[in-house]
This record gives sequence, C-alpha cells and structure tokens, in this order.
Amino acid sequence: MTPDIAQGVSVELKFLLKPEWTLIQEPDRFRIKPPPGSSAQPDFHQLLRDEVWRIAQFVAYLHFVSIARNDDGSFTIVSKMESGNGFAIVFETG
Amino acid sequence: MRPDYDAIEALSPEREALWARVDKATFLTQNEKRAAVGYGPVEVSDSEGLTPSHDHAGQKFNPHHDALGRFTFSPNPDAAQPAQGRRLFGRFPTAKPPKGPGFGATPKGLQFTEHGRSNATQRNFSEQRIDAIVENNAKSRIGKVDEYGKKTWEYTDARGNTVVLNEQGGIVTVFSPAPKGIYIEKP
Repeated sequence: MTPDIAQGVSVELKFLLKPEWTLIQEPDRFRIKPPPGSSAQPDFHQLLRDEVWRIAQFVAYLHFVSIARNDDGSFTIVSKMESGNGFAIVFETG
Repeated sequence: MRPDYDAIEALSPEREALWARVDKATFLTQNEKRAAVGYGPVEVSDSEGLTPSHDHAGQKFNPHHDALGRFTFSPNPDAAQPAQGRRLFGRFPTAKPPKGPGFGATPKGLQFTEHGRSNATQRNFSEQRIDAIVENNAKSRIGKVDEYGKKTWEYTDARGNTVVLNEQGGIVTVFSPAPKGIYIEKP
C-alpha cells in the first residue's frame, strides 16, 4: 500500500463509514470494526455483509477486486490497479 | 510561430482589458509592457536605461518578474503560481503551468497521484471538472489533518462532488455521494 493510496483510501473510508464504526490504519491494510456490542444482534452478519458490499463497490479499483469471507467470520477486500499497487481492508466481527 | 491574440475576436474584451491594465502599470518598463501583451522587445533604451541587450543573463530587471519576463509572486518562478496570480493576466501565454511527470496534471497544473488518477477516470471526473470544482469552491474548502499529521484540503461543489488535495496540491482522490462515487452532473 503506497502512501498516496493509503491517504486516498483513508479519506474515502472516513467519508463512507457510518457513525460508531471504527477505522484503523496499519502499514499494509485497513481494519474496520463495527460498533461495540453490535455483533450480538441477530442480524449482525447480514449487516456486516451489506457494509462490506457497499464499501467495496465504492472504493474498489476496476482492474481487480476480491472479497473473501475468513474463517472467523470477518471479511477481507483486496483491490489493485493495473500497476499492481492496491490496498486491503479487513472487516472485523467485533 | 505565435498566435496573434489581438486578431481573435472572441478574446478582444480580455485583450483590451489587458492592454489597459498594462498601460497603467507605472512599475513596468516599456519592454516589460510589450512582453506582457505578447510583443517582443525593442532595442532602444527605456526610461530605466535597461534593454534586453544590456540586461545581464539571469538577472531580474523587475522584482515582480522572472528572467523571462513572467509575472511571479514566489522566489521560484517555475513553481505553481497561486490562483490569484494566474487570474491577473488571464490568457497571458507564458502563465500556463507545465504538464508534470508521473500520472499527469489538470490544465491548471494540479498533479495526479496514482490513486487520484485511477479514481478520476473510473468516476468520470474529467480534468476540467476537477479544475472547476477547486477553483469555484476555494472559499469553502475544508482543511483536515489525519492521525499521521498529513494535511488535506477538500473542495466540494453544491452537488457533493469532492476533490481532495494534499499539501503539495496533488490530487489525493475524487468522489461524490452517488453510488460508486461517480460524478454528479448538473440537473
């Protein structure tokens, strides 16, 4: 994740995230955490899935995007430009 | 070969205004006035006793001009000029900012980052639209500093189309509130 990509994606994620969702920036990826206690709600997984889809549609580059569901229930979006530069976002479950 | 701006009818009001402004400028020499309206120097001494042939190479003959006779507010005449400075001479031929390397620049000289260029293309923000958003919303721009101390300026038009610049004037990203961040046209 180049500094320019990190700055650009960070600005967009801050614009997109709903209140109480938390954005954490690390050198190689972003982490997004849902509001505290929300994972106990019965419809949480659908809520998380909807957020992953909404944000992926907005921030992903046209060249390449993948959305993976991890073993722990979290999701990872990876997107790259034609140059190979890109970013990763992990949506955590709580 | 240079275009004759005075022969272009559509430019005549601006050319007349430029001529009037230049004529009233008491701090300019005759040759500087000629350069400002696109004419070459004359080989006679002006009131300040300086002609191009007597001028030492690289030496400024006016503190407000660089060695090529271009108007400048900054110590570095090749640096991007402030918008106010560019407006002063309107279509002054040498005031056009150069195209930079990397991921290109808008006609007004805003440099793209790789991310900015990619998103501008896929979100339908043309270079002209980006320049217009920045120029028309400068008074309402919002400055932000992120958790790493990096400063950005956000320019947003009435429809929500947003251009984000970094401290160097580079285009960090562009987006709108529409799905996929696509540019919102005038209704």
